[in-house]
Amino acid sequence: MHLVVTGLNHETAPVELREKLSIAEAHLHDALAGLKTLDSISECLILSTCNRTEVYTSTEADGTEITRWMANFFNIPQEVFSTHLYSYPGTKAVEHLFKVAAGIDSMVVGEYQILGQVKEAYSAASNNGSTGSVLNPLFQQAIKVGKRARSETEIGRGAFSVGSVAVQLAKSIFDELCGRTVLVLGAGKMGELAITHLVSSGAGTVLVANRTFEKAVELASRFNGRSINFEDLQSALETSDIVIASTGADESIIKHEMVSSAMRVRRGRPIFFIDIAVPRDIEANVADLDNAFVYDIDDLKTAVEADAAGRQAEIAKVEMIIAEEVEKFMNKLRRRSENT
Amino acid sequence: MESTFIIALALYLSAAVLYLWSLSGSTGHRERLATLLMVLGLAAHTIGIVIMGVEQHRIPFNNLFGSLMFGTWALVVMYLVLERKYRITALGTFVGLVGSVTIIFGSVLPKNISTSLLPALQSHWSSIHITGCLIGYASFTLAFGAAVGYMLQERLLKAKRINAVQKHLPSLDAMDLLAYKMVALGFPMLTLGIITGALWAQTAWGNYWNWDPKETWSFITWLIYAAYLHVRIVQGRRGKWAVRLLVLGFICILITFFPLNFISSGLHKYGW
Repeated sequence: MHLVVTGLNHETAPVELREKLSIAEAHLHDALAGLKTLDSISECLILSTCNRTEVYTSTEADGTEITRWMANFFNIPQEVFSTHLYSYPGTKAVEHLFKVAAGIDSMVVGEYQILGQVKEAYSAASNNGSTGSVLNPLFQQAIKVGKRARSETEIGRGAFSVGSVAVQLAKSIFDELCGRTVLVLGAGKMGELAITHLVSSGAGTVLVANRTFEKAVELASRFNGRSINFEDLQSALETSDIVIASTGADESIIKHEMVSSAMRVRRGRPIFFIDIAVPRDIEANVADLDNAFVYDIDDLKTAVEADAAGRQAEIAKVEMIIAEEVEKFMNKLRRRSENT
Repeated sequence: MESTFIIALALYLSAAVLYLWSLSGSTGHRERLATLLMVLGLAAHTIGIVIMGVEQHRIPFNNLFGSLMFGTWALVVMYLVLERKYRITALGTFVGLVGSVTIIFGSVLPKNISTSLLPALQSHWSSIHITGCLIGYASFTLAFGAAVGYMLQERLLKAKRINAVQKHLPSLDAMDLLAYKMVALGFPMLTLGIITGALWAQTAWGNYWNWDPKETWSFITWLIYAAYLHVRIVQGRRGKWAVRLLVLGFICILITFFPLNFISSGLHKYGW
């Protein structure tokens, strides 16, 4: 009896194939039940996300049996996908799962979602009664490894999206976002996304200004906010702490003199401008004003990329933790088989 | 006594280095170790002051060395209390360095107490005067540290350098508020120190105020922090402007505390 993982991920298979070979939550039960009917398999678990489908088994056979089962289950000829599959036995399977849980096998290195997906896959399989003396300790330890990697290294640190960079920067200026006023120019998708991030991080009042007033009203109502006219922009600048600009205007809307006169009223309270419009909505020299912090879409993207590079540099440390944990797990397994 | 201060120096210096190192990445154990070193440094520092007090049979701040040691002690105590409450370990580097520098500087100062001035220095006002001034200066030093942090964070945000240091520094708002709280504590302390100093001068020399250089500079210092509080509370102004006043105030403290003790011939010249 030994451990084998067979599957495919974003590195080995294109998205069209991954789509076909993914197992929705509703079918998970059937899939596990089907696997259990195979004589050689004593334990099984399926991890299926949009980036991977993996079958973990404790089996007497090798990976080819799982390949046959997959062809059967998905009703796709083996030749179509078998070259995209990987199959790792024993120690390599343990190592692979730990990498997955730690987030270093993910498309976006260090992302946190995968750990939740590993937990869900494990609880689904254990509720189904398809895990036992090998997969239970394996997955429990994998979840611990995932947590350890994120607490002992910087693999999960930093921003993963433009929206989270914006929130992080806002917190470097304002500490807490609660009670802060957010002014949104333009009622486009990008602007909405940015408000969603800020509001879910605690930002208070939302003001929306848009050329078509109805759209402003509609967007404002979604965040319990207030719609304002473009003519009232000046007074809105005096009360707003964060300004998200995303209009499709050809010219800049927020001018240097508007901000400088708003600043006199604000008496040194900073404003954080997030300009995600192209061409930009905020005049470039607004950034020269004291207490005005202006970031455009490229600045935010650069920050996301820098954080991603920082996480990439943490992979080696995570691998050291994994090596340690793999050894621990293999020793545990060995001790147990000696005892029985 | 001196060896305990040297131990304190070594601990403060290593704490400062560790605090600085933890700015490059946010691994918490470096910070926790730095805090531990800081606490141990404070323990050695405290023992040094106690020994000094026992040797002199009084609160040991009747010379420049003693007052420096006491002021620094107050600074470290305040920092450690604040560190427990807020996430301000970035300031630890500053406090650790200030602690180290004052001990190094103190090591070249004479430790004896000038006997000729002793009668004048003996008054019950003296303890309150010196304690008030020193706690005031320690608070302003922390406010200065927060101001430096503010300026650094502001620069990094303006330059769009979103690096580990930027992420590790407290927010602009947090540092602005911390500086304000420190001045709100330090200002009444300095006021108390100056008033009791005047009362003490009256009993010792028959004059409330003599305009000796130290008195003049501490009055200028007092005016600057009064201006800061006015700007902050009455005008509701904050941000860069308020921060600049804190830097100016700290420069005045340095002038009051250091050069004047070497060059001045006023009543405050003691311990040489």
